[in-house]
Amino acid sequence: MMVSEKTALRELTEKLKQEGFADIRFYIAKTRKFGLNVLDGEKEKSVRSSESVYFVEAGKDGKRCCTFFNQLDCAEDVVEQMQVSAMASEEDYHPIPAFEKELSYTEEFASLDEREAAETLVKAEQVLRKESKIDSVSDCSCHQYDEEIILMDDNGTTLTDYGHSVSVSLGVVSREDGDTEIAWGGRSAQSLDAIDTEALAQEVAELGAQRLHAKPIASGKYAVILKNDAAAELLEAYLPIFYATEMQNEMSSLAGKEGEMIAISDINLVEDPQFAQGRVHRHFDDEGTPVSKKYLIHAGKFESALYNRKSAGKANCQSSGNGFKSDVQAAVGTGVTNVVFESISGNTLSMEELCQKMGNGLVVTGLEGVFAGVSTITGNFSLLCKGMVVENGKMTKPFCEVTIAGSIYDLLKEIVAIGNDPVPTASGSQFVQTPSLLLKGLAVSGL
Amino acid sequence: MLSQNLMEKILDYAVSHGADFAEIFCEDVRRSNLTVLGEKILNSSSGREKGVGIRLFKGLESAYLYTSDLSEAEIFRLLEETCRYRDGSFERAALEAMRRVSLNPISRYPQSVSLKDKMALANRVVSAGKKADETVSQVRVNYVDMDQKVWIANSEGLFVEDNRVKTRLHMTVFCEEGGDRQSSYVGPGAMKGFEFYDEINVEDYVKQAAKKAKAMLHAKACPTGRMPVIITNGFGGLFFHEACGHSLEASGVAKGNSEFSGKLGQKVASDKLTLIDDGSIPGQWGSLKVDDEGVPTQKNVLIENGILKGYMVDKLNARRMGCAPTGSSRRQSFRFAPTSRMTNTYIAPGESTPEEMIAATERGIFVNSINAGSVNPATGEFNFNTSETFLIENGKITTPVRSATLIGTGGDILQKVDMVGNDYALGQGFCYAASGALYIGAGQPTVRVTEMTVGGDQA
Repeated sequence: MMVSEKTALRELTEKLKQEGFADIRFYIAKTRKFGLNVLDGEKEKSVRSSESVYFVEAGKDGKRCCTFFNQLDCAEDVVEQMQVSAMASEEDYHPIPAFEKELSYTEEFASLDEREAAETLVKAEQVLRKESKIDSVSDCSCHQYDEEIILMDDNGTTLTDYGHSVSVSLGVVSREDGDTEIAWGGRSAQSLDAIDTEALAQEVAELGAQRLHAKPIASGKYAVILKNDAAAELLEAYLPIFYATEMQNEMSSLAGKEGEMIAISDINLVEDPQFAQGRVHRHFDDEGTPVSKKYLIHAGKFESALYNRKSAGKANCQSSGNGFKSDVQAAVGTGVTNVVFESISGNTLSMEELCQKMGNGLVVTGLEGVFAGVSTITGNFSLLCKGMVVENGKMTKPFCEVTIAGSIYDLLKEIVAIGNDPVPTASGSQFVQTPSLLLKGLAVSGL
Repeated sequence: MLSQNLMEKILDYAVSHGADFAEIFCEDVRRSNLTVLGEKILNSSSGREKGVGIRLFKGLESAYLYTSDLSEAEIFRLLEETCRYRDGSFERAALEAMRRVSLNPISRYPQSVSLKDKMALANRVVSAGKKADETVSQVRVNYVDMDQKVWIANSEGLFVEDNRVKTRLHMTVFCEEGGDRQSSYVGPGAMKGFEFYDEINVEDYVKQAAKKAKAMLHAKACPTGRMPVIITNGFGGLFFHEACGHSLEASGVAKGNSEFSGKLGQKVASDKLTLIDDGSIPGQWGSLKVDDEGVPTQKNVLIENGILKGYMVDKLNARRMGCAPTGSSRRQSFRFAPTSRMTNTYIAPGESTPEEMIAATERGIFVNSINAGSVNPATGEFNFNTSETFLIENGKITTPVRSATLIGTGGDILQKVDMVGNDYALGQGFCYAASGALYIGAGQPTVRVTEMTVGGDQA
């Protein structure tokens, strides 16, 4: 943090103290982004940004008051907003304890070079277009994201952590004989050269071609292989079932079920802040609590809920370092660093082997409407999907325009086999890495 | 915000460094958000943010930069990085005298309303909701408001200031009985100040939500397969928002990535269908006086009696398509480059009554409440998830059924609308896409689709 910035915040702290506020805590997010899209071998669009957003909370007469702002020369406005907040606050304030010492985790990352990034993307676009059925490239982009998270107490002591990732996103529209399909893929890493963009392009182009001439299939119950990225997307949507806040508000059925089997015994679901391939490398959460590796599911058993300070206080336990904000402007909620689904035995299969084991069924390669078709309260889901029909152990034809439905709780217990192909969720969502999963059966609605 | 002098400097730099068009979007916004669950405050936050977004075009290439740091030094640092590899020099028009877009009169600006009053409103809803029925176990209320001032200046000489004031109250009621738990919601909102809540009866709204949630208790599994679907009026219009609205935005159409690309003048829907997007309806949640490029909003007839008449077009895609922008360019905030998006999108009323539609349906489903959905404009495949849903059997609404997923492709479904009701209403919601989260209106009269795929958890 720049000296002038720290000075301005310390002056604001003094002003707030004069107005009767105590235990003043700042949360500051400083982000820089760069993004580039390529189309037809040329730069199509770019985006650059730099931004600082501040969130302050404090107590007045024991009640929690807060506001957000992004200008340091608006101290009077901030004080006024805090007074407005104080006038009606009914929420008790439990401040983060003052920090014992300055702590700073920072790392310098080279900025993406625009010309090098463009070259990489142009090569990826060429690979996409080599597939004859690709009619257009809808997305050929990379983004770099750098973030500094600073917590500051009313003594001016700070904790600083960082975030950094580079991501590539490729999308195509395929066409043949009047039929149109789309395909998309994305990867993220710490640098652009750690991403095999041409391999990703090959994968996306093949998927786009494979999906052409898909037809709906008959309704019924089918054995299903959820392909790795679809499985990751679905599991990420269900992370809230592990949040203590949801359990305490009766929004998750896992409340009180610690130690119970909720999945097959070969599974761990681990949160690992130091996961090397992860997207998040934080050292403390947004409340200053150190993050830690922990099991959400351990050998099939629900191990522990995820707590922030508030939910931990209610449960009379310690925060598990999962207090994260969805937005700077919002209060701390619950979140995760990197969540990894793993087979304990390591007995995992390739996609070909999963298909052979399944015999007859479906491989679901794409899900739509996850944000709407998933209920974390009941655990039920009903989602539009597409993929490949499997007959006698081999993928035969593509299908589309059907829904799969089920319950996450049944799904976790009905995993028949686990793939050897883990991939993470796309950048922009929480990091969940999952391999492909062979499931006993899901209800399919189609023809 | 930025001085006119600084804006002119920015525009001069941009056009002299390869931009044939440059635009500055300045924003100063106050927001507040309050979420209450029963008697507990789950979240309460309010604050103010300012920022600037600068967009440059050269032909069809564009660049966007944004920052919350309004100093000349930081703005020019970003601008110089952006223009590093650009060449060419263009002229710009002198900025006109700034035009203030006239706002509908606001009698209670959100920042003049105390948090106590906002909480009192939420508590009224909670209290009325809990008393609405003995099965009501919980009520959640989310109150939001926004007072946004924007200044838009561009190299064509446009210089406009607009003020948008919005508010919305989203109420979710949870009902429980015999181990079954269901919920439903209502969410009235408007481009108005806090006086909006004197104009509506919030207690009646939450009672509606309670009635819908209760109706779903012990609902049976929805039958699956293809069948007629009748979709209620009001926010049932989300159906067309997803089924074809996004596919009519120039962001997909212009590059040929929409199922409606190149089909102007063609019959793309049932002749009973007229689809309109109108950002100029006074006081509506999805309305704006000028869009986020400074172009006045207008009523855009997209489909008229089944014929494709127009698209929603922003400036950049207008270049691609060789047409004029339609006042449809929107962005969530200075953090996003604008693009063509919907405002208030609705099906024009027809002549049938809902009763006639139901009586004419031997077996199908009646959707009385929609949760959310999504679409892929390139293929037209859409999906949406319903909440309050009923079977129709022998021309009568019968059994409640658990939330279903309705899927199809826009081009196919539009042709299958065979009855359009006379009970038009407009609902409020949010839409999430490339230029961020936007408040939108979605409306229609009750509409019947002869056949759609219905998914559920029964094979």
